Amino acid sequence: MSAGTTHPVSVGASREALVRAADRRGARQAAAVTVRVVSVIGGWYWVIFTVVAVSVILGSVRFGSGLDQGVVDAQIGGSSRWFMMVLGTIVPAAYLRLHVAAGGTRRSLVTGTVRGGVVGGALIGLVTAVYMVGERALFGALDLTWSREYGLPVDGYAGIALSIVTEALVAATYYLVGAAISAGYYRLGMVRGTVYALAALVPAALVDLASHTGVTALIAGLDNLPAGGTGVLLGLVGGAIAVGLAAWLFSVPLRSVPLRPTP
Amino acid sequence: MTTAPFGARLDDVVVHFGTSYRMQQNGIPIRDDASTALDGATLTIRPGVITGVLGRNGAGKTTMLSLLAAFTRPTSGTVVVGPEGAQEDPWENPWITSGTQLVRESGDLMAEEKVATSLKYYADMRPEWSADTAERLLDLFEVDVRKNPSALSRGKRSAVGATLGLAARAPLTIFDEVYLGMDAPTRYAFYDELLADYAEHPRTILLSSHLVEEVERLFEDVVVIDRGRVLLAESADEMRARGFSLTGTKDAVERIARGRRVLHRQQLGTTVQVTLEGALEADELTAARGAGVEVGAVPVQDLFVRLTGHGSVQP
Repeated sequence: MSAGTTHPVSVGASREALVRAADRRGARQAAAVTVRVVSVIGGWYWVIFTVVAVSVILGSVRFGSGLDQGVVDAQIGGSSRWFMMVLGTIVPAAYLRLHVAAGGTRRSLVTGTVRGGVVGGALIGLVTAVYMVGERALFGALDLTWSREYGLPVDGYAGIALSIVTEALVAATYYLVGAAISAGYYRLGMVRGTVYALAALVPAALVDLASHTGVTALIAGLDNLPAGGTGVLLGLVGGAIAVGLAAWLFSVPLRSVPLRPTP
Repeated sequence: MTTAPFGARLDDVVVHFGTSYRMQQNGIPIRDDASTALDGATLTIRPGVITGVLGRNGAGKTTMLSLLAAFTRPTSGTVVVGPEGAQEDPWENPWITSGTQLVRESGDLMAEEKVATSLKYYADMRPEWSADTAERLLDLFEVDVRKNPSALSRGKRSAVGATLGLAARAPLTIFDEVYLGMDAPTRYAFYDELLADYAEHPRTILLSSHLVEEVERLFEDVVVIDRGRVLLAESADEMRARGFSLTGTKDAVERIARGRRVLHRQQLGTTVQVTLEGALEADELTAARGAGVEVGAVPVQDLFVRLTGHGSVQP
């Protein structure tokens, strides 16, 4: 059945150039959204966390015998991962319709989300390291001994500097794990989505073990994780693999998600 | 515009949705039940014309339009979109999706962010975006872009959707019931802007609307979808020629109508009006007028109503 005769028209611009430009625009927008949301929510998170942590440290000195462990360290090496995971669950899924309606592909949303997750993770890593430096200085000013139990086996400021990278990998992985869980439910439904969510948690466990932080490292036991240079090397490589695995687990269901007309 | 207007072709397309869950912007998942939206739809959309897409609620219009914009893909059958001679599957195809703008009702906006934020997203994504057009239309429709969409009335949200569709200048622009909530002056302003922008920047426009009487003057082609199938797809003139009305005394009208498919029948006292499928031959027309029967054209809306009314009336 036809709505009439057709007439030939020429394709003006180069198809390949238009495709590349469209992919770039889509990925750039998705990355920008991710970085913006992570920066805003993460910024508030760290402001509130810092106020609470300083209050706890000062309170413990004023009303008790002080602390012998940093506040971040007491959160099994850092708690940023949880809000990153929640953001990952919400943000890409919420932007999917807008992105596709604006002419973007699911692939460019994935590419941009992964890039944005890595950049957002790097910002979280940097803020974490800055906080640790400040916390260490505060402990010193209060004559408290600052020590770390969690994190890669490197002491002092070198360990703090290294945490920029490890926290970046942790935050990026957890963001993408959240995105993978959400995409899995969206694409596969309740039952299969729940099974997929379990698989999507594997990179989270991997990055926990690689960074010597988090619940999985606690369960595995820090003494059972590789120490020294080997531990550092495995930590960085394992973290990078976790990010890649989480990105893949996010990409697979999302790239075939249909956007069903809403009633 | 650097890209030629897009046409489209659907060939025996079936779309079945299984039960699914989607995340709302507030983070709460919602369940959508299984259904068959399209059932063997076959259709060609001409590039460079305004096509009206008509159908009753649940007929499959939105699903068909969603296929063209790669929101979803067919369970079976094929869909291709693009300039004449270079049409491709739109699914995950940036060459096609970047040239196709589907505006569903109020546009797809971020509910919890300012309208300006969503507009910027579109502007940065759309290669042909006209900032001047967007600014002028938002001013015309008196939309405050500093508000969240949820803080706007339904009519204002629809006006944002209309603005998105026109400012995007996409080679294939699709308005799916974008008029919802607009008051009459705003709707007519939108129709005027649509025609003016189409004349200045020729492209393919698909317009789905239940207000057929208002928009039929815009249509060059018409597609009618019913129960997931394409009932007809032809030029608006051809559609108008599909039927005619007879008004006169019962005996005279029924004599002329005998043997023809009656799409609609009304009677008031001894006067009967019937809407019939097809057209009268010249001699039949002369005979009808001789018998005092008035022969009239049938508006597209009436034909649409009768054709999708599921069952004709016997005289």
